[in-house]
Amino acid sequence: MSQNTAAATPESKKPVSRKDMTMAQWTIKEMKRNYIGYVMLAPFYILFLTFTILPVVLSVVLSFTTFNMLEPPVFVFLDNYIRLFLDDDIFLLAVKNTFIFAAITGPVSYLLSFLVAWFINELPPKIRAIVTLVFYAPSISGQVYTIWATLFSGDSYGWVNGWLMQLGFIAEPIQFFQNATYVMPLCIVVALWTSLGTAFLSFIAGLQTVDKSLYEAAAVDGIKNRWQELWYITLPVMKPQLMFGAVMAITGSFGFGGIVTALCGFPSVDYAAHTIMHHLEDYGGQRFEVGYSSAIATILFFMMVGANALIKKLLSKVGQ
Amino acid sequence: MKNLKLTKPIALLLSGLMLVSTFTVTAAAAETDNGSGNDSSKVGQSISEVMELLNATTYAEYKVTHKEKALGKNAITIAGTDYDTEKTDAKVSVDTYGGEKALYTPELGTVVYNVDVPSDGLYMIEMDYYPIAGKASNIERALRIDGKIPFKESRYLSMTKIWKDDLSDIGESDTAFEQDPLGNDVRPMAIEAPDWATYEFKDATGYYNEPFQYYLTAGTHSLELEATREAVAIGSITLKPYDAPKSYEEVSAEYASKGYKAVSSDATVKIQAETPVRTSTSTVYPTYDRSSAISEPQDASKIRLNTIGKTTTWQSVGDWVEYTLTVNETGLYYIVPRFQQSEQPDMFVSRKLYINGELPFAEAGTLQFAYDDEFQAKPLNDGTTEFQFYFEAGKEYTLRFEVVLGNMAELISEIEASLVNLNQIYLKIKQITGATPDQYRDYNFIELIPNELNLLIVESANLYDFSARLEAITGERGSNCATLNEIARIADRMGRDEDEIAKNLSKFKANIGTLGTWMNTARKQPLQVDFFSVQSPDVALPKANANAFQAFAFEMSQFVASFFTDYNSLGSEAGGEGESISVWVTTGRDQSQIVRQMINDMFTPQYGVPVELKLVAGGTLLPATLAGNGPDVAYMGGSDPVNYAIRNAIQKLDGFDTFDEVCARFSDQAIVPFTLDVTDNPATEEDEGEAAGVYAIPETQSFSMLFYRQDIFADLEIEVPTTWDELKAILPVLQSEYMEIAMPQKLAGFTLLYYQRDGELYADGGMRINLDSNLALDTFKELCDMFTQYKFPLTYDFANRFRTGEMPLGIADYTMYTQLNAFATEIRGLWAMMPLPGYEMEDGTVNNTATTAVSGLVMMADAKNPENAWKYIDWITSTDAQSRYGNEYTALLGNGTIHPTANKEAMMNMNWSSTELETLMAQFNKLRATPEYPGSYIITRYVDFAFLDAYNNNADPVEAMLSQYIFINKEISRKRAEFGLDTLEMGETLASRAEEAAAAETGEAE
Repeated sequence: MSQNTAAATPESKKPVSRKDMTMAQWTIKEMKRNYIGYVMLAPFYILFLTFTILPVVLSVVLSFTTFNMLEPPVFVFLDNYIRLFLDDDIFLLAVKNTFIFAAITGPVSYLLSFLVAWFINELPPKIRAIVTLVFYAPSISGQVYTIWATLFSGDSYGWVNGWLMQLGFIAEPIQFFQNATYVMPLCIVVALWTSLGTAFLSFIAGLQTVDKSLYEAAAVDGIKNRWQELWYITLPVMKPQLMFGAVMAITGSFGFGGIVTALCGFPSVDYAAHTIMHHLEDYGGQRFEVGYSSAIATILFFMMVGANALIKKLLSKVGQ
Repeated sequence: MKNLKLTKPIALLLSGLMLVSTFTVTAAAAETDNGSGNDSSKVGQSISEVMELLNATTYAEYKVTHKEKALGKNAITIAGTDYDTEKTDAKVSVDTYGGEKALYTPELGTVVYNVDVPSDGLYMIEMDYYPIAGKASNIERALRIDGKIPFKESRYLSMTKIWKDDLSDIGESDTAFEQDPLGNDVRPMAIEAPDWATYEFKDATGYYNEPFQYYLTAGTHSLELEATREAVAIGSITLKPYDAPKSYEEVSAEYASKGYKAVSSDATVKIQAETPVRTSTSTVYPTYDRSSAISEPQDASKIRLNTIGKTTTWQSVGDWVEYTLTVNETGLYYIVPRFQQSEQPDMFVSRKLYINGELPFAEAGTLQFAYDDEFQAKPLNDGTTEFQFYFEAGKEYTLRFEVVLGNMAELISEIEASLVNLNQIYLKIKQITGATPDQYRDYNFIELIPNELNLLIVESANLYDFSARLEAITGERGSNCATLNEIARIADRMGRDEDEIAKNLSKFKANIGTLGTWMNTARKQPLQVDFFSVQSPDVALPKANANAFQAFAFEMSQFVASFFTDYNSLGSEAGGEGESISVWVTTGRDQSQIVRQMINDMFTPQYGVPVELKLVAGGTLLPATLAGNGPDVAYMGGSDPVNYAIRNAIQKLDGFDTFDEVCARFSDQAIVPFTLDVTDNPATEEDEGEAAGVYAIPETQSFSMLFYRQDIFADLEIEVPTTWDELKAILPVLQSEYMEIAMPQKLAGFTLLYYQRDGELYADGGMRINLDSNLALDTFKELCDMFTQYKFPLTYDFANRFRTGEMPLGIADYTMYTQLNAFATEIRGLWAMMPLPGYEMEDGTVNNTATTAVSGLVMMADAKNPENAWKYIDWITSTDAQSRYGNEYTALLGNGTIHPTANKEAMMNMNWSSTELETLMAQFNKLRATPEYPGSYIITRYVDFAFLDAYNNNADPVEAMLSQYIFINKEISRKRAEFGLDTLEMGETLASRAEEAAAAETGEAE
């Protein structure tokens, strides 16, 4: 270490130590010394900054303005937020819907992902590969949820309608996706069906990395049943995967919007399945009010960050 | 083969029997129709026409009836000018065409000829005609003899026109085609090249390979030619006995006896297929193949027109392509096309070859081109024999390849007859059971429809037979055979056991649909040809495909070229002196290429302004404008122009000097959605009216028409409704047969009814919505009642249900007409389009206004040269440009499409027949557009909410609407405030405000 420093600064007569420098000086010096590392990081950081950090920052800045995409933004400070919380009933409705969505689909799909992954993990490898594909298929084949549109089509030839009419429960077709009573439950079902995605895969991967010898050691230490095994060994070992799955579940359930639009139209009848994502689209796309929609996006962003922190806390309790 | 011969007469006999049964039904309907007497004349006439069509026999039956009759003896020729002046009602005139005197017959009316037939017999009819340049469609006529249609097919006689590629622009260059500035070949425009031609009266669908033979008794007969499409000049009409062409066996024996020998190996002549001398239609044009390295010519990065008929452009029966051929050596030749037939799996496609206008031998009428993914090079053959042709040195021959159904013709026509029967059976069953039959219920089909059940068994046997024959012809047992067998199996089960009917009905319907789709594909005969090599039978055939090395080299250079070529840029025409403008289009690539071509041919030469045309994805305009990279001119529709206008992103157009002239091209309503109306704006008094104005020029305009099934209406003995009351009156009749009506719903349905009652959607200059007026609430209730009380369906597929007859009446966009015309061939002639029903006014007239939607062109605010941009907008919406665009659009994209131009005069020049145009114009003149105001997006959703509330929850429509319209007003006010426009308080109107102000003033005065 000291040799290195000496080699890097051969001209300087007196050896410089950390104590003699300000924080900034020291940082720059260290950066210069490790510049290869920074060069290697650069491609990712440049992309990450321009396409992730910058838009988030821009969006926060824009949320303090009115901006219609065609004319320069005008600074209005907190007006957008004031209107959002005090004079926008639809936004509150959207928040409610989003929380219902997130509260049901998030945990349920998370648990479901884990349970299914756990069960599948018990299968012989060849069968496991096939069953994994079966469960994962809905989320890889993007537009496949349109099958629900056919299933619950409002046409009298739609599957469910045709079937119900045949059995004599109804006389005319029900407009499942245009009726406020059915829209929300249906969307939740579809969301759950498509939610066995990346999280599920990472759980399977996680389950397979658990060291078998740990179970043996635990058996010696007095583990009594599979539940204890799961709680004290399996889950703590695969915490990184659990965390990853949780993040995916949160972003998935909060950002759930596209499928609703595809099935129920935009906006859904009586805003029955109107989530924050929809509200954002509504203002950003249809009404040319990008400033306002940036404010919505900012709120959504912080909601997700908050939920993330909460999940982290919960997960730290695993295995205790 | 023996089996085939036995089953055919049986099938015909049985189908004949079946026809007798339908005949009685329709005849009965006809009687009552005549008896009722007080029909409105137009509809009555069309119903009688339908009757005529329904009762007419098919040519197959006609042939059987007249099988024993002898051929006519002598040929009889009548000059075109010898028409019956009394009976002819068309506005005809005698004129000289191509140096010959002929009778001009317009696209409307009937021309009658009297002909003396010396002896009883079968005659084919030939006509010398001169096509008059007009629209991009064939000439169509119907032939009646002595006032009667002898058989159905005689109503659809189709004569081709003559087209050629306009290659006048090439000039001195040595390329076959004109090239754009980037070095790509440019597709030449097709122009009409009228010339005298001969037409044998034959089946337009190609179901019969021989010309029609009409049976005429001795004596005087009148031949009546009724025009349905396009004008034509008639030179002469000849009746003569049919002379069957010789077989190839006879012809080749003749060649042998004359000592004709195969030519030497170096006598090969190559004809490049992409440069025909003449074609029958503008839809067959030079295309480019980029898949094969050895297509001639070929280039890795540039477009080279090297084939004809790619992407199914040369596939419709009757379309032909003509080449000239001169050889240097007299003798026998193979004609070897290098072709690709990769569209019809398990099948072959057919062509008919005429040499100098004649069939060289019978088999030349059924040339086959087998299926393969790759290119093939095989001598012309009929599946068994490869033919040799005799050509003399130095003599010029014309080779005409015409699309025919060949050996499939008979089979396809019989399957279609079967399909029509099966469809009718399905409809009959559905009238008893409804859409979702209950399989546990006893419908008593045996009592109700015994004939249909028998027919099911008969058709089942037919279908099994068809499947076997199809297998024999194509030599393969493909999926098509499987479909036929499956329907046959189901039909048989349903016919034998009535309990199976309800169980299998949906499967039955699905299979009929599959069969119908297959029929539509089987009728198409797509073929792509690179060149024809006319060569000695002894020489090796030309190579069909590139070897691995060539293919690799070609693909590598394509890959490399992809880094240096901008495929999105459609190029700009150099040469204009003026400042160039940039135009963005969001249509398909094909359409934009038409525009590019038109700019090069018409705009830039005329105005001297070069245009940079770019094809962009939808939604790119907004970000591009934001970044300052936008175009000068863009295409826009819906509420966008007003939204952009109010944010100062586009320019006002009514200041340009030719603005009024341009606007006169459209109906008054067309510019309504493009008009920004902010004059009631006291807040910004200094620039009052400054921003108000027109911001876009209309290009396309869509509106709805009423479609109905004539056969079903005739069958049920009901009239087509012209008012809503009449529509409600026939509703019970339709609904008792489980038939439904397609009606626009939600906001679209509301505005339709509301505008017919002269309602206004906005009040106070867009400051509030006018949905709380009595008229609006009343109309909204009426609309909701249609769906709740009268049970109109909310979700459906109109085109499909219209075809099956479940939805014999419906309102749909008028472009549906061309779609149905092209794709629903099984119901051809059995349906029609009418203006919409309306409300009867107090003075007895019917207000049947339709709503219209418009899209158009805008000029961006930062356009560098507004004058030039305006010139472009002026030009592209002109009658000339729109007419040409419309015709090329149809030519390129096929007969199922039509460009819905907003230009009134250009509309007349589109591919419509005169009667179709008359119907369309009746509606075109009664249109109403919804104006656009800030906040208009909010209306749709709240009206939809109110409608769905009434529909789903049985809410009272009036209350549902009253609870929602406030939200609309709130949003409108908010949006107006954003732009600094004057707003109203909740519940306030301009009138109430004025009153209050007056009251306040008087109060102050006191």
